[in-house]
Amino acid sequence: MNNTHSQSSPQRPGVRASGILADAEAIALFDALQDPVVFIDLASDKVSWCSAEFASRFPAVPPGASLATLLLAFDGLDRCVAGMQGEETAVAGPVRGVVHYEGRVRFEAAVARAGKHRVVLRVEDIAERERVTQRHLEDRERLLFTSRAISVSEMATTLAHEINQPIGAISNLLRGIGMRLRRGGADNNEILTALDRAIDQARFAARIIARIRDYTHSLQPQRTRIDLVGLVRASMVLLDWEIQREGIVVCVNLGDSALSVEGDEVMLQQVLVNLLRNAIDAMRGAPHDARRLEVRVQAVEGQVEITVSDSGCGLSAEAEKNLFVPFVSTKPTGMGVGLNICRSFIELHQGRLWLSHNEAAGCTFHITLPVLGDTKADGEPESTQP
Amino acid sequence: MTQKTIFIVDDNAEFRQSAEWWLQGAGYQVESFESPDRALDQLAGEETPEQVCVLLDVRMPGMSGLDMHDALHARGIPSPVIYMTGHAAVPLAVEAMKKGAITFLEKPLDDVALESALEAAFSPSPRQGGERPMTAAGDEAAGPDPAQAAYQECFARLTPREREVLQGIVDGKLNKVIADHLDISIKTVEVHRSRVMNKLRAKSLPDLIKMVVTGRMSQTL
Repeated sequence: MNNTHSQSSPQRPGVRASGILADAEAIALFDALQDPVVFIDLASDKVSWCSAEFASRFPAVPPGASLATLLLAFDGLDRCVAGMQGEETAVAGPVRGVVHYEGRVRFEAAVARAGKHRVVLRVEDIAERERVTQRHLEDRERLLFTSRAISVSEMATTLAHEINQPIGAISNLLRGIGMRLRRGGADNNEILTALDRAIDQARFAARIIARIRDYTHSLQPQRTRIDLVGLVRASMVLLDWEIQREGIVVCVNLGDSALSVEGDEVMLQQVLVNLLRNAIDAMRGAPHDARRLEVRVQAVEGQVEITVSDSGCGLSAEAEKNLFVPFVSTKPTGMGVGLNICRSFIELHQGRLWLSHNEAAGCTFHITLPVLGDTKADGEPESTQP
Repeated sequence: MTQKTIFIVDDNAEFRQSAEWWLQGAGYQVESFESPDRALDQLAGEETPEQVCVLLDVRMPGMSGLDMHDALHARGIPSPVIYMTGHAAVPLAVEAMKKGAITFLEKPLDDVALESALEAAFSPSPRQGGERPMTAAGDEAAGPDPAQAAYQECFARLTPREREVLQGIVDGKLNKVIADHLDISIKTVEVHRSRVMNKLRAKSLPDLIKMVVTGRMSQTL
């Protein structure tokens, strides 16, 4: 971590460069945080200290460099620093602004006056921050894509189109046969040929159905050991941006034992993300101080139960009745297949998915899955049967 | 009695040939085409193309049924067109009716529906020529037309809300989208929808759309 990029200068980063003493605690703190920070000494107009992170990222500004060198390296920084000079104020700022390092990479600079002669500058990589956001978005997109790829709706459309052709042909042939027989004097061979063709078409339709059955079979879950606690965490991370934006208070109770199940990680994560997103959506209309999302993982009678509970609008009796009915959604843009798929996925894992109403507000979704044999929760009295 | 001619245009061989065989059995002169191009060429050479009804599949690779209908208009071929489709999507139906189609049938073809559509196609034109796209409700220039008057009478009985729902249906919106847009429940939309169907005496969704697009009551009543 201490790989220095300093050129001819023998000074190690993280160590004061001039006679001005930097505060030892602040230095320790910035280095521990790996923050790209410098101290500027206003008396000498020099960079009096660079954190190790700063030195490794911005070799053009070594410790001891002049303020001019710093301002030259960071395009746009002069505007932030300008307000910091002059007066004898002890503390001011921070002033933030977008700067370019060596004219290329974008950073966000924060400048603050810290003491009589000292200015602190922290430079944050915007690109990095955007990359993190981007990664999250991509993960999200991938999840959406997977669920789309197997969406019931698409299946239904394909099925309708493909199967309609042979059924249409059979119907045409039968009507043609009926037409000829009713008119009388029909040619037997012609009728028999038409019947054979109708049977062929019926077989063709059956083959399409068999193919769809094969396809559903190919969706059988992968069997790997999954650490549920890790899975819940990973799912929450995918949604943390939305959770923060909606100002939702999250309460996660993952229990004290590492519970594992056997199953398909992608499928289970999709189920969790779906339920979490539903919970978030349900709370959009709730007052800001009453948005509470609770996730709990616990061992219950040889099974592991995951609950996702929200303090949102709850469900009307009608909505509950239609909960798992495909293509019925209470969301304006919803397809009405999410929960249906969730339940199928959980059932593929020999589990159950159901709903209960909370006493106060909102509702709770429960998932139970069989816990994996050799990682039972300690102290659980399960599987004592012979 | 001159034989009525039907051109079937469908890329699916089994469907096309079986339909050809059926309609030949019903006494029509039938020719079938795998793609619109050849059908167009042959129609252009017909002496009385208005007496050839085109049974047109909507979804085909290359030129779609709607494209072929445009090509008919462009070449001034006045053949009546009946669309066939695997599953009727409302926007598609609206598009087809606006182009002046006789009607829009779902596969598998229903014999009664097809028969009445063919009857309309071969009847000497109250449609004033198939090539003219039908105008929207109300601006029919021709003199008193009982079907049009009947439609307007029925339409006048719709409440403002029912008209809004009807507009949503014709725009091809799902019930839940209409519900969201009008800020009412899906159930309410369903109720309005069935009232609209009743008041306009529509037998099916294509029937309803046909009436709205042409501004005339269906003649089969």
